[in-house]
Amino acid sequence: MNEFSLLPALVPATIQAATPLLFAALGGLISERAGIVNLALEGMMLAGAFAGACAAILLHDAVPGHPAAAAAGAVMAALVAGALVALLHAAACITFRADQVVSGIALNMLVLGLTVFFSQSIFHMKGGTPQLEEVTLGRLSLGASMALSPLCFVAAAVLPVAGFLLFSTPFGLRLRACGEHPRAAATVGIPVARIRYLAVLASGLLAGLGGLYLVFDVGSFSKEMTSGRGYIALAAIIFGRWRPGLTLAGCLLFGLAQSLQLQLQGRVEVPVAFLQMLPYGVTLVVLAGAIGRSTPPAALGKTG
Amino acid sequence: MLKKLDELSVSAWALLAAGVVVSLVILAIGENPIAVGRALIDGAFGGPRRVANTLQYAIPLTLSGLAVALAFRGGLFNIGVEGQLYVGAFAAAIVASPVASRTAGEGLATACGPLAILAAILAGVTAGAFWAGIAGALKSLRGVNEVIATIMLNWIALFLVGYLVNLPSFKATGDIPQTAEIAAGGRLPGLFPLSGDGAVMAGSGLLLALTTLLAVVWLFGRSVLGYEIRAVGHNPSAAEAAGIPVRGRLLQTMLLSGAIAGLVGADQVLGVHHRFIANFSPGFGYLGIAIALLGRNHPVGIVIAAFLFAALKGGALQMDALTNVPREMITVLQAVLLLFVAAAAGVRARMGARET
Amino acid sequence: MTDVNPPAVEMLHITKRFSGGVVAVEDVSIGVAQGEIHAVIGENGAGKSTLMGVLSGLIPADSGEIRLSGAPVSNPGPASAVRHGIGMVYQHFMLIPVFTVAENIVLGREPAAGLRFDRRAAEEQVRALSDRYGLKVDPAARVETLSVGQEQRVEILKVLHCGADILILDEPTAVLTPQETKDLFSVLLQLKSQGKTILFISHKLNEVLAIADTITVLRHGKVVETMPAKGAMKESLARMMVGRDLESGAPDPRHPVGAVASASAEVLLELERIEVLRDNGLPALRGVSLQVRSGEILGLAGVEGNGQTELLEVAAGLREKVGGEIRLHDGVSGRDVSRTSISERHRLGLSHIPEDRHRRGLVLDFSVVENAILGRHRDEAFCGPWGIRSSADIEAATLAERFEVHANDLADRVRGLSGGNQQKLVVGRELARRPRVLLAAQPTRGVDLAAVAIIHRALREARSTGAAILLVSSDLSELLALSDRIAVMYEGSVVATLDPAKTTEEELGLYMAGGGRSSAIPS
Repeated sequence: MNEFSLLPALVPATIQAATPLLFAALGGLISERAGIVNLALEGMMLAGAFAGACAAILLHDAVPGHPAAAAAGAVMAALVAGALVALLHAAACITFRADQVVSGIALNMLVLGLTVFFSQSIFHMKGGTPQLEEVTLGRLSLGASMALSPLCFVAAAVLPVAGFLLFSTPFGLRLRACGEHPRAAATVGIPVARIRYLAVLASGLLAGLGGLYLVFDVGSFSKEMTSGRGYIALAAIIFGRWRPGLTLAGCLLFGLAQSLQLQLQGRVEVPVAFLQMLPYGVTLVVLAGAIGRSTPPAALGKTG
Repeated sequence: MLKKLDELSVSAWALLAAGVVVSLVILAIGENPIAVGRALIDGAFGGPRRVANTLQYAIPLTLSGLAVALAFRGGLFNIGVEGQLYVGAFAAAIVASPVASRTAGEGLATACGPLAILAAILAGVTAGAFWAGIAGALKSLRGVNEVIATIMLNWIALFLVGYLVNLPSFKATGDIPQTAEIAAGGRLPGLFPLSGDGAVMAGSGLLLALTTLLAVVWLFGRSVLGYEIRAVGHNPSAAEAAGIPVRGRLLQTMLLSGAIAGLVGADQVLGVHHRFIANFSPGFGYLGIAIALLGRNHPVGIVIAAFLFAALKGGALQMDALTNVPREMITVLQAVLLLFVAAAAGVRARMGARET
Repeated sequence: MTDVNPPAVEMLHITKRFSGGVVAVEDVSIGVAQGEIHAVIGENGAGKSTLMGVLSGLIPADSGEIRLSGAPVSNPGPASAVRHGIGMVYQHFMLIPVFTVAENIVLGREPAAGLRFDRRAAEEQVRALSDRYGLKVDPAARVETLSVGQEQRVEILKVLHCGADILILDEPTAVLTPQETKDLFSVLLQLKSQGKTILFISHKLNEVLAIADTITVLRHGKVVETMPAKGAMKESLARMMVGRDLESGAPDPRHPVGAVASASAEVLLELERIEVLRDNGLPALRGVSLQVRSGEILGLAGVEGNGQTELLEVAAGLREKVGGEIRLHDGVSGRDVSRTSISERHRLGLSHIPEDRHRRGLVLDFSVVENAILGRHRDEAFCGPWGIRSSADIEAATLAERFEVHANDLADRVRGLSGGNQQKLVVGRELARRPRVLLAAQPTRGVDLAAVAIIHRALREARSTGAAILLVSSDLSELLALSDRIAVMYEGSVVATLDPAKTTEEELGLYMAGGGRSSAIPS
């Protein structure tokens, strides 16, 4: 290994590190455009990861020899788990008008507790799961040197769809109206609460997939394995000024920081701990530079 | 005061609701909620040693709740107490260990003891304030959302102290990533020696917590600084028009909150573990968020909530041992509680709001 | 109830209480005939807006019934109101600043081409609608770039695009110049001629008498009387609104000023060539120069958005400027305070009654006591070594008494007070500083007539004790009643300085709209 082999490895590594961020960030973007702050992204990802891992392992045990079916079950489970957390967040924020930040933090704590609780009762492990063994989503090759998870392509496909939905359809116009001026939306008969529920639900589905990606990437679930990615996704949205294209750029930037951390380990004379700090430090620096030029939806986070 | 306590009714309702939900979960996994409850209470209050344990655990929880609540009053959400207390703990440990252990001779150690302790506490408080101050400065100068900033700083703090504690100059011999033990003269003295073998169950951290509590009560009850911090927290635009330096107050709020977080770390190092141990905190900082919210940012409420959480922690071990309910149930209970408090507060605010 | 021509709108026995038992409207019944302009008048707080909120479905009534053309509305709510052809033009416009005019108007009924929102069709629809009713707008413009008058046109078009046959206008003229008001009235008459039914909320009696067919007077949430506008007398309407004869408190149109500041009085506030940029980088103030002398009130007239707000904020220290000087004089020399902090300006004798009491003037979750010392809390009188002294309580009680701030308990949150009481608290607090220079922005906006009288009295008193007052108000009669000179602002410049004794609302309106002769009297 020398410096020259770094770059070719870095490109797929960046795409892979950016994929779970992009899922979560697109979900967060939809939710925040509708006016609901989504700190629960972290919990949604973690729930998706855990449910996906459980489904994969348990289905594989129940029906051995059909890893593809188990993988499909894992995808379903991740979607459902993310949606369940989203439903709780939506109910708290929209129906009960709880503080949206507090609800997000509470849900993240709840999911963390539940994953440990269930890993204990299902696998008798301290917060993790066993290996997924041969249950995988496989890899799609892109040229000789790049083979990516199919989920990377799903994320890449969701991006334009979300952009089209938000900015080119009547539904998107209404959704953004809910995020800018919910009372004005209500006075022309738009069902603000229903649209916001849908938006938060969409964020749960997407973040769930983001969590699932991590599980297939690592091969098992471990406690707190999202390690702040939900929050970094939010930073990517802020960096991206609540626009899909720029948010992608933010995700790639943070993905680069994450993959650099892994790629540089053992190659440079910097302690590993400092490389591990890199994604978080980069997030801080980027936020400090991005704010001021970035205007959130006018009614974001306002209860009532 | 009474009006504020009335606000605690929100917490009482949330507590009841969370208890019902968790009881249902316990029933669902085939256990008896009443037996679980009994085990919890026995674990928390069965005998002087357990009471002392609960009390001891309530100290960092109270302080951490105060740290979060102080920031809340100033309109800031300090999720970074966990990181700040680690940085504070490490700073306190490296100040305490060399000073107390290198001043050879019993006499000197005793003479320098109080000064060494004071220096170590100051170091912890300063380091915690500094770490929070980074987020505070980013907020007040660049408008960076403090929630995301403090979470990023939590991760950075964990890696940083994890790295530092493994450096040869700090690490004690052995496999465990921890600093050398602080000499007896550099420790916070115990208050109530409870058993013959000299084990001290309630440290003078209790006095630190009480002092901090009173200071916070004064800050928000009478002081001009507290008045200004609250004005900024409620309405920064009006505070600005009234000539209050909003940016400065935001930064100071974060510094004060971080200082209390640093005190949590210093107390744990000087009074409980007598050294810095990697990953020593069972999430005091995050529990502080729940405690502040459950206590409705009111000092009395925070103390009550901290004791509740401390009792749950103590009871959890007993529950784990006597029933088939794993102790992680407590984390779930706390999170559900937090969610219900947020929802109940939202409903209450809606009912109390004047429309038009 | 007859089968022949039931009224277009009937509201029967409507009652609405807000939390805390505050009755907003009680047992109110109103009938509005098809194709008429029906004015609902009353003081601030009389329940007009609540009643119209009930009709438009935004506020659920506690009891009562709404019938449209005789048929009861079973399931009230904003969506149902829209379906029934009720459209409301709110006092605070329900527009989304970052959306275009067309997007705002078609929101909720967007034309689509396949899955796509058809922006071109939307703009076409808006153009057709605006031609039909003579309401000129640019469909592709972003709403945040429009003037207030244009925004109102967009609001009306939005309601018409919804297919509304019943239009409710809540204080539509409050933000308009006299000329814009005339334009609005001709639009309303045209709408009426096309068969639309119009409910018009106001407290300006001249306007009501000019445009309405029928008038309903509300007081304290109850109907005093409903009568035809023809033959109604202004004085009797006023009496019904207030519940007593209007006396000294009401602003008289031609004030005899006790002590008009002589031209030789000392200049206390001097603004020179002030230049300010808006958030979007366009100029808000283009080199404005003004002097305010001891013992005078200088009124600033202008349509909202022409720089008055920015001018006061610059003087108060709440906004950055790009050029010019602000000088506060202390009798000896003028000091440029451009770089001086807000609290230092306070010490130099500057006071500020902000335009928006909720945003700038008060901390709503603070008690009356805490708000009474806001900005003065570091004064030695209120602040000792152990913090805030109990003298703050006494100060609050004194203010409450002098300015008739009605609160159950001075420890209660200010949020629970009425708008009038909140504003009296702000005015009282700022005057209690005994300012040499007072900046007063919209000091009586949204308050009841009794509070208006108290605030006007307080401003006059401050003038007679030698304060220099810079007054911004969108209420021209208030400006004419209080000011010693009136400067008119248009697009960031002072276009005229007038003597209130020699001008009229119409002339002011002309300057505010950007027309008129050039400067009249020297300062």
